[in-house]
Amino acid sequence: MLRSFISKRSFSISFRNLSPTSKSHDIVIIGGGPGGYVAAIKAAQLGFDTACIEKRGKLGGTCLNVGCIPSKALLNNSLMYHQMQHDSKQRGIDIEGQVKLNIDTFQKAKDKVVNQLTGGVEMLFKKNKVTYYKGNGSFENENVVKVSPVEGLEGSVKEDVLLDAKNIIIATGSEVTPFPGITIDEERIVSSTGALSLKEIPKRLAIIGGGIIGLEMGSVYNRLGSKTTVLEFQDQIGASMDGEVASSIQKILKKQGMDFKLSTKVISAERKGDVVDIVVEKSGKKETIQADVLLVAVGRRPYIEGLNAEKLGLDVDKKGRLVIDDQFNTKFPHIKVIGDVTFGPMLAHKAEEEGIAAAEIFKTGHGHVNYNNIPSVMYSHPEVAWVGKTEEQLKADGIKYKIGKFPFIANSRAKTNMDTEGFVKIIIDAETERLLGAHIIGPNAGEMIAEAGLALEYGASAEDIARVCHAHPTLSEAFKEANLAAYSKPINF
Amino acid sequence: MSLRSLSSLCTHLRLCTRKISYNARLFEATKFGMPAMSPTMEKGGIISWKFKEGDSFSAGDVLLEVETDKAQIDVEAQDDGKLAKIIANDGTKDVNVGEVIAYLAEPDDDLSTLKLPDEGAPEENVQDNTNDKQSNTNEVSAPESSVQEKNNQNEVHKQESTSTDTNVNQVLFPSVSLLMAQNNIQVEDVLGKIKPSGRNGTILKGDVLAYLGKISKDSVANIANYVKKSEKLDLSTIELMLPSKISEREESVGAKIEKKRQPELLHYDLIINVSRGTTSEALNESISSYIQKYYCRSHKEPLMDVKSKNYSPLFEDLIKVEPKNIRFTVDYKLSPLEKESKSKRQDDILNLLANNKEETCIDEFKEQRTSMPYALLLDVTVSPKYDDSKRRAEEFIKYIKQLESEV
Repeated sequence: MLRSFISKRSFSISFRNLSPTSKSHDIVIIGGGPGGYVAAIKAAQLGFDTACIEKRGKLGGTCLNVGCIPSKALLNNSLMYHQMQHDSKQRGIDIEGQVKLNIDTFQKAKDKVVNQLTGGVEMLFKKNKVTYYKGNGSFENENVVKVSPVEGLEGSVKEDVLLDAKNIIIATGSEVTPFPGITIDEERIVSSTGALSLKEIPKRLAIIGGGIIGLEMGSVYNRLGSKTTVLEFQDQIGASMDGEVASSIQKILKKQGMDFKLSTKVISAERKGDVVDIVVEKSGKKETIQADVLLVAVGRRPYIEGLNAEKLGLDVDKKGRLVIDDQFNTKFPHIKVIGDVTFGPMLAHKAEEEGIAAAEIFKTGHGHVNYNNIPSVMYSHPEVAWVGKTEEQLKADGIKYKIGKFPFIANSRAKTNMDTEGFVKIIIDAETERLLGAHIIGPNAGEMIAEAGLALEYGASAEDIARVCHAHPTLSEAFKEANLAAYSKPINF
Repeated sequence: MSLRSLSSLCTHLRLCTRKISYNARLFEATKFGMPAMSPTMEKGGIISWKFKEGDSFSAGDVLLEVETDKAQIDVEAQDDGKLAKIIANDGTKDVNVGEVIAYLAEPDDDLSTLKLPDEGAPEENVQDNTNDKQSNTNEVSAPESSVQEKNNQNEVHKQESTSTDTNVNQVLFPSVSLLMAQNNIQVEDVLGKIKPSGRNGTILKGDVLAYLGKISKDSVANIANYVKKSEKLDLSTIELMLPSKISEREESVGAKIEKKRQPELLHYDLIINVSRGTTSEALNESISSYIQKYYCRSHKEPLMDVKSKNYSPLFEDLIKVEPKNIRFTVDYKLSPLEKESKSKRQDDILNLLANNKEETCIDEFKEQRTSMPYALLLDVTVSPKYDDSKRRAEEFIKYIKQLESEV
């Protein structure tokens, strides 16, 4: 009451800190994922006094801890298991007794890899003299980042540390997008994180989302014996894959035992004891699917929790991404944003590129990221990899193109390996024959796509690739032949 | 250079019209020599003049049509002017590059009095040697060079050189070197002439195909532009989230995690009497230092009764969690009450205060007209992180309470 009368001549003083610890750095990077840690090392190598803040407790972000790396460990080992069970006999290897899965060791092998790699990044920080703060980084103002203690985090800063930063890079990444109305308990209804560490192999696994994450985790448990069903809202799996490639890999995965329900809308999912009831709708018809584990893999969303970005008034778009210009700048030129938390594909290697470019822009004013040349890989078996444009994109953009295709069944190495599923598909400009896109389904496609990336970067034509000598017998010959097919005719098909 | 490649070069030159500029000299018509439409062009024919002698023309008008082998090229005027005299009439063939084909004048020149320069002397053909190593072959030398001609030539070459940011040290792509070899093109001959569409002036297969006339030049440019555009993030259609939504989202996220850990807010209001004559600055200062002093003290002070036999400073230190961290923060406002005029409102305040159980205060105020009342409004935000936060904050308020009688 008294307060309401007094407004004039009032003033306010706050005492915020008794003895705030304060440090200053040239560049402070918030987030130690593939974008942030790479930016930190690059910045340090360029001579900046660099600090990196991470609140997970381990460096490497989603990718190293609960993403790309652990899933690849599971994919690789589950493939070996599957091949021993089903493939070895025809190759003349008889296994006496039963091939059994030890899920404990199976998971431990994965954890060991993750620990080695995250520890490795910490070593790299030491080697490059990057100051590493474990704690939550948030903006005090546009020049000061506060590192706050995180409860229960080993090695966390003990008290608030204020970092005076000349330049700041935000690399806070992304988190799992929840499915409206479905509660993730990471036991029976799991996100990709929970799917990486299931205690037992579910008899029935249902997956919402036929994107890369869903299909990879589906592959793992399908090989380990789960009856796997993929529920996809679109009429095609594989997210941004080339249409032809998507339908081919779907056929291959189906042959491996995965079940697909496309154009299917998930209405609800509820855990009932040890099972999950999922109600789906397809062309008006409702159906209930029962599963032991439901994986929700409908994508990821930008993560800016605890960053206090709103205090600086940083712009956020409708999808929650921090808004940048083409130099990664926010409205403050000394605050840049890279990786999943801003625009572009949510991929670790894209974030890495941006991290290096951002550090270099701080140093020299120039950096290089070619967004037309960011490869995507799905580590199913066979793998799917692509870079550049898809047929659908080119049609939409009105570009005339030619296609060269070469199947692995005609490749000598694939033949000798008895691993011949898939093909290489090369898309070139109809007139200049410049490479526009490469799409591969096949063994080790993820490695092979690097050649396409190099060619794309230098504006090579299909002929330029085909005239490069490729070793024989290798899978890479299929890549060469597909290029030959694109502008001329293949030799071995 | 083979005839074939030259002709195809000219074919694509036909697609773009050339601009010719000149500087006319006052009182004397300027020579207009046969323009070199390509660095390798030696001779050309005149198909037709688009203006008659004495006609005025404006910049951009097509002056004449020139023919080289199979290609026909429009020659545009860069500046306004008059066509003073035509030397080489329509249909003249095999005119050497630089040979005078007409005289031009300024738009306002009187043609009847205009002096024509000596005829017959061929114009110097200025070649850009950095771009063209073959330039000597088609150079027609003349000691007297005309500014106009220089400009003509430079203009042509400038246009040519915009398309020749070719990296001269590049390693040719296999398709490129093979295509050149198959078409008997010497690399040195074409480095300046093939417009590179690759990164850093790299010649791509499409560039050679276009040079050879096998595909259109547009298709090279189109695909190069298309690829270039794709190399950047498309930031043209950003839809911003409404600010209210951001805070909503943040709140919902925050609410989940910090439900139990909302900081507690303690309010305490008191009235202090200050002897008249105390300046507000002095008062502010003393209040500020007082608050600061007890703010620190209530953070450091042991919570136990020091006189208790159970008290041990060492133990206190040990059990205090993160002793340096703040337990609460203080905001305060200090405002004079009397200044609010002596009207009815003051009574209102007094009434309010009376209800505010601080009766002694009011009594004092009424009696002592020599002192001035100030309201001190205290907001103490208690950190939820530590168990002792609230007790320390209360301790602090106790100290502030002493002000009521102290000042």
